Amino acid sequence: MENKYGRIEKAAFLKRFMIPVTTALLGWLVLHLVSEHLGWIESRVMYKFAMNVVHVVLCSYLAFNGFFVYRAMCMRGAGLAERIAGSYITPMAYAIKEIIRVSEFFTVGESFYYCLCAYPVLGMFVGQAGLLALSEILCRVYYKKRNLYNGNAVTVLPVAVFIASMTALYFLFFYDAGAMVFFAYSELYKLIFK
Amino acid sequence: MGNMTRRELLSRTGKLAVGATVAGLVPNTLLSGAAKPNIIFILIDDLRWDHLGCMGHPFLKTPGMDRLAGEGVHFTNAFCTTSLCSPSRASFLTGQYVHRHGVKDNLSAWDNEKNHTFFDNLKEAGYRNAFIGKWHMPGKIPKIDSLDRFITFDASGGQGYYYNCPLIIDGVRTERPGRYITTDLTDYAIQFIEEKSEKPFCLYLSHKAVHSPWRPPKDLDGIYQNEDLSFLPREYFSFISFLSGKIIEGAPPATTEYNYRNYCESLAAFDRELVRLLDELDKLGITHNTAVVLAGDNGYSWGEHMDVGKRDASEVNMRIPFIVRYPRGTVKPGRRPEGMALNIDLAPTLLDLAGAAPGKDCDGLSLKPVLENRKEKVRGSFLYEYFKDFPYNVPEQCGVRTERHIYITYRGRRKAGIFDVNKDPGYRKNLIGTPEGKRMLPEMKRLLAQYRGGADNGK
Repeated sequence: MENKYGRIEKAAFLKRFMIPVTTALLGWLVLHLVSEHLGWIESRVMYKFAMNVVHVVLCSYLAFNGFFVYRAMCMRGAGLAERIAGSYITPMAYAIKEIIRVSEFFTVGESFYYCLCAYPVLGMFVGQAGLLALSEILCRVYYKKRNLYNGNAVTVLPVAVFIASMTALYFLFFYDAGAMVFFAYSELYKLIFK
Repeated sequence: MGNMTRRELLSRTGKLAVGATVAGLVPNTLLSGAAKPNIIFILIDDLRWDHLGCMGHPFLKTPGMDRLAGEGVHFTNAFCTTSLCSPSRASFLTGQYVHRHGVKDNLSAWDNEKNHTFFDNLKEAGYRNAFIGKWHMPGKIPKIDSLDRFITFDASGGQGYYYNCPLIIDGVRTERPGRYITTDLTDYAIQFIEEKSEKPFCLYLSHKAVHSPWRPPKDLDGIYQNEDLSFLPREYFSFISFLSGKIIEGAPPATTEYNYRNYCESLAAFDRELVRLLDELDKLGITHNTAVVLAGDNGYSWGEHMDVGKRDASEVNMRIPFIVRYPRGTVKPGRRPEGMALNIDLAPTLLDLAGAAPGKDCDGLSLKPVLENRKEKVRGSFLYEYFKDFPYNVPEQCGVRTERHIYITYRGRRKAGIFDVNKDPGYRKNLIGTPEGKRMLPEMKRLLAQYRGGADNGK
């Protein structure tokens, strides 16, 4: 695919890929560790406040971090494949952590299949796709204004990905409170594992 | 007494019996060949044992359940043998532990060929039977020959909806636009009770309430909006649902407080319908001869162990409300016996009240002796089982609960534990490595093996 961001200087791999990805990963790790270690707070009010804040931030971080990682990589001249791969590193790390965690309860096969459950892993992956598409459109608009992007800002592919992602999120979480998708997921589980 | 004639003996016995009855020591039913009782079993979903006004809840008002408890026997030490909807429902129907009836989780189908319900025995005993409400056992909704009326729903994987829930009425799907399900089911229940018949009836009224996603009726929406929730457990916080693996499906992604208030408001709606049903029995003049049993299928955690749910052997998840009101067959109503009652006791109790015999493969025990105040308890321990229910993040577990302790074992990496449920209801201090725990362990292991291999003999 032609790189229409050609006028943006391509930084070294460390700067354009490793730094944004590692920063995102470290941010998640710190939030995760903090969220696991708040039991020492004696005051009930403070404990509740801290738990609420940390978990909302952690959840939002996992849901939206791809949007910012994608943009940071774009600014440093990373190609499309790098931008997508880099944006999915933190969600992938989270998915691996979840597979290891649920392997306490499930077989190896089930632990991987667990990631196809809408909440949290599949939902996060699907939502991330829409955010990357949105991030791509916004990057194009931003750089087009500065004559650093030489194509149309709004094209079929990112718009289609965004619409598909939001539609999938609607069915995963909102239509029938997600029960219909969950039912299909359970039926598929029975076919594979029962 | 030695020279007493048969006639004198009968006369004296009769006078003694009348005296005892007048004094309220012996129920009339023991002394007369009276007609069989009507039976109403009301199953409420996910209701905690302590969420009744009469249990001292800070703000809930439940006049219907309070009335049942005041006029009946309130088993405040009642438990489910598996804290999960489908398995527990199958246990109520069959009187069996889960490993026997086979509905191990919310994905294992009900085997209609193998499993027999107490409706079968009651039908043989001359009863007119109805099942109205939530069936929610995996697989096709079965055809149960011993039911004269079968109204249920399969929407949302069998969970149904609070509003506009289509019903399957004797096999025919019927839309119910604008209807609130708790009211709708109660209407059908009253309709069944009012039907004229020579036969006694057995009604199984199985509510969707108060299962998630909680939605109260419009006129009760917000009645508990301003109530203080500071009594919820210390470890609870508003976004428990954001913890890994807590929300899988069903619970609305809202704060714990929002969900809890809706739970309580949906419960208020249930209780209002219960009052209506009990009033109807009064109007028909059949209260005295109708055994009404109210129970929950499992308990529920509202913040305990940082959980909102029901899937493990914690006290709040195992304990269920269980009330039996049977004026004709109860001595000293308003009691709270200390003995443990179980979901598997429902079937043998109802059959005992109806004068029918339970099957040999029934694991439960009749609570009739407790109703008649002949016994304070019928058992000293029971088996708890929880089988894997993918994708819920709970390890498979089984254990033995005695009056004071629970011994629980897990499949997988988690270590077994023994906990003193009276001193440590939150299971924070594992006794298994202590001298006390080591002393108890062999007996606990023996009981567990016995239960998993055979029926509950009440020891």
